[in-house]
Amino acid sequence: MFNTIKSKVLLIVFLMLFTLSVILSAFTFFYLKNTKSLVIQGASFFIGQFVQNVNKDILEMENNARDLALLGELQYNSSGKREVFEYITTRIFENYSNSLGGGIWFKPEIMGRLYCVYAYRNKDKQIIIDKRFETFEYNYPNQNWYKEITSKLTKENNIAWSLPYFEYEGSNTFMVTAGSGIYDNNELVGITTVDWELDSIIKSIQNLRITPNSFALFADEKNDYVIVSTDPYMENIELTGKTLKHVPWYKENLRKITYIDYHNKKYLPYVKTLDNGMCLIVCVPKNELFYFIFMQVSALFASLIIISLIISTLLYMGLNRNIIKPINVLVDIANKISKGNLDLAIKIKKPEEFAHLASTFDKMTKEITAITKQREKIEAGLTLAKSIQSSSLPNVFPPYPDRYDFDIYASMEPAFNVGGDFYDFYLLNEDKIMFLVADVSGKGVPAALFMMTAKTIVKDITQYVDDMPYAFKSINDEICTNNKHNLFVTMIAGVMDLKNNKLALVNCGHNLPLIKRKNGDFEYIELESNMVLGAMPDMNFEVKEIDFNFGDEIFFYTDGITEAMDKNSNLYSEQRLKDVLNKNKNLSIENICKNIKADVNAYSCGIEQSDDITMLLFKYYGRENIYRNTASKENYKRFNMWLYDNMEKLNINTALRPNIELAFEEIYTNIFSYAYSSVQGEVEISIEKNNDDIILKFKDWGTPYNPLEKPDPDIGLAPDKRSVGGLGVYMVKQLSKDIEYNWDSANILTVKF
Amino acid sequence: MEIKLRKQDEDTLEVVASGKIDIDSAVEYGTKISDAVEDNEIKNVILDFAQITYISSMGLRVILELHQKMSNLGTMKIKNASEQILNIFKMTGFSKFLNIV
Repeated sequence: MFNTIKSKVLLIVFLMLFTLSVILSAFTFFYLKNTKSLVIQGASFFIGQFVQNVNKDILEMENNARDLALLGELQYNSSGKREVFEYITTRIFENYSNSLGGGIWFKPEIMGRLYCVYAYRNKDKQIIIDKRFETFEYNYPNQNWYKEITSKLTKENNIAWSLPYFEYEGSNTFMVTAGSGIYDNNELVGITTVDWELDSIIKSIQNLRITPNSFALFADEKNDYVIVSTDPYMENIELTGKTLKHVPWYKENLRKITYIDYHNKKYLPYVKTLDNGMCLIVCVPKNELFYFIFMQVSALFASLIIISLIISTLLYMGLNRNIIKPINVLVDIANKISKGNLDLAIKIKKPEEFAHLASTFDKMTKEITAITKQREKIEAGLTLAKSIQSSSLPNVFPPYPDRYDFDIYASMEPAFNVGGDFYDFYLLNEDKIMFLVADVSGKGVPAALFMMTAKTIVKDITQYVDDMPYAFKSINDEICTNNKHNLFVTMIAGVMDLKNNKLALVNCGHNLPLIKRKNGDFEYIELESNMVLGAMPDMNFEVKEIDFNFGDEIFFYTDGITEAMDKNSNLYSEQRLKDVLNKNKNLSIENICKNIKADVNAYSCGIEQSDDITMLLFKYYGRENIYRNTASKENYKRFNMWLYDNMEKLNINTALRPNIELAFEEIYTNIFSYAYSSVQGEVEISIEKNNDDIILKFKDWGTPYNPLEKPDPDIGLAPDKRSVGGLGVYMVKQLSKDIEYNWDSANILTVKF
Repeated sequence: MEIKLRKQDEDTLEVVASGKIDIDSAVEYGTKISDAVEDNEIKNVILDFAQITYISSMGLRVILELHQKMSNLGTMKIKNASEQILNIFKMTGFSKFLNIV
């Protein structure tokens, strides 16, 4: 799976991207941590800013109250008039513009009556002295704020705050009052107050949104008093003035808590204490607070994935374009080249490595083309050589269609284009035929050239030298003379004397031939071997003469047959050759040879032929008055010639001859058409003179069939109703003196004339 | 066997052959004549047997076929047949229908 460049590079890219992702993830993790604390701090800072602004107001209120108290104290000690107090009050509130109003309230027990100066800011921002509060109806010493502030004040910390309260009398607003004490020596003689309208702060708090769903609580913890809550879950409950118990999420130790769980959400509580002891608590939903971070991180990861995909795609495309495609082009071209197409222009310009490879490919195909052309030339030469060589061997069969007394079949199949084996046969005169098989040492062209020389020398000498031993001595000497490369020839040769039924055999270091006698089997014949031809000059050659009668056969071959190997390197062997010959012994000589060849090929099936395969089969039919040959239409002429020759020899009356010929033709035709209709077989014919009678005898080993049993045809029929079947035998019957059929393991038909 | 074909006139073909009409030559003899008859729209055939030495049953088969073919087209005559041949024709009953002159 990872064996291709493509997959390997993709693996590298994947690993690179993986590493990058890990690094980025680690970075993000730390970034996130930092960013979280930054965001928390940021929110805290924002709330802090808000609180600081409120604190500023508080400080101003306190200073306002203190300043007024100080001025009130000065005037009290110099027993200032009411006008002065009113003036001071007005001026103070003109200067401190954030307060709603305020005034100086003397203790009644000190002054002996209700004595206060109160000023407030009207809608036109003018400071108005309001005298309604000196009445008994209001009776300020009984008001909660008065009691509260008076009780809380100490000289050291000369400031106190009332609880927030709703002012019905004056401004109709929610407010809180800061107060300061006026002292005469150490005795509190009165207080000053500054009213701080809380509505605008409450409004700011209500609008305070750190995140869309954050909410705030403004409360006085010390006095357990809620000023305002923007908790959306408590929207319908009026909290103002209630205790903190009414706030479900509130805890005393809120400052130490990181998160609160409220309505299935996590909130971060920010607690800020104001200078006057009030506190502002802002609860921010955790998910909203970090929403932006998550968005940022998500965006980062998304872009990381997109970038990875883009990089992968680009890399893959680049890889495809620069490596895979050129490789495929080269593979395609290599395939075409292997199929023999060499006229290919390879067009790769980038990348340089492949361009280089492609040009190498180009060079290679050019070289292959050149070599191929050269090889084609050589092959053409070899084919021509093969054709010259095979045409130099007699290769038309039957070679002597006009000879009935013998027949030859031979074949040579070279292992390479040209071979070192050869066979030859030729008539030395009317009554002598020479035939031979030879094997030149070595193979291929040198052996073939040597073979041509040897063949020519053998033919030249044997045609003119009658004496066999001398002829072979001369042949050997001649071959030695021209043999510079120390090649040699083994040869088996025979000269058949057709008149005297003698066969002279010469063996020059060759494989022993097989002889089959009439009605016998093929057997190896023992022959003394002479020296191989061409090895050493001036040698004597022995010739063995044997009787060779009609019906005898002799088989010559080369070791290409017996040394053919099967796939386990077992030799074909001489035994197998003999067995196959005998299995086919009743066939025509051509079919015997073809079956041997087929058997050798089947034996060495799938293995390249390693040596030339050559064989020659000579069959002798003789010129006796008895003749036997394959019953076939082709052989009719031979039988006819034999009949003619023998009628001549027997000096048969010429008037009778056409009748004998007719009888022969009709019966011969019957035999090969009916007795051997499905298999090939032989027919034996003899002719003899017995006193005045001529006896023609036919013998065949085909289907038993008595032609005489067939009824004579009706010769009186009209021509359109006639058939010629049976007419032949009828004519023979009419033309002969006597005709007789016998069965003796063969059909025997005897015709007497 | 040597076979010579000669047109005597528009419709008549003369066949002069020499040798044996046997298993070797009979088919060739018959085919040559048959083809010539068809190609030239021959109506009459004259077979000159002067040089014919021998005829076997294969030869007779061809003669019978030719005879049947020519009966439909016109005529077929055999002339100059030897004693030997005439004997064969007689023996086989061919002389009864062949036009031998």
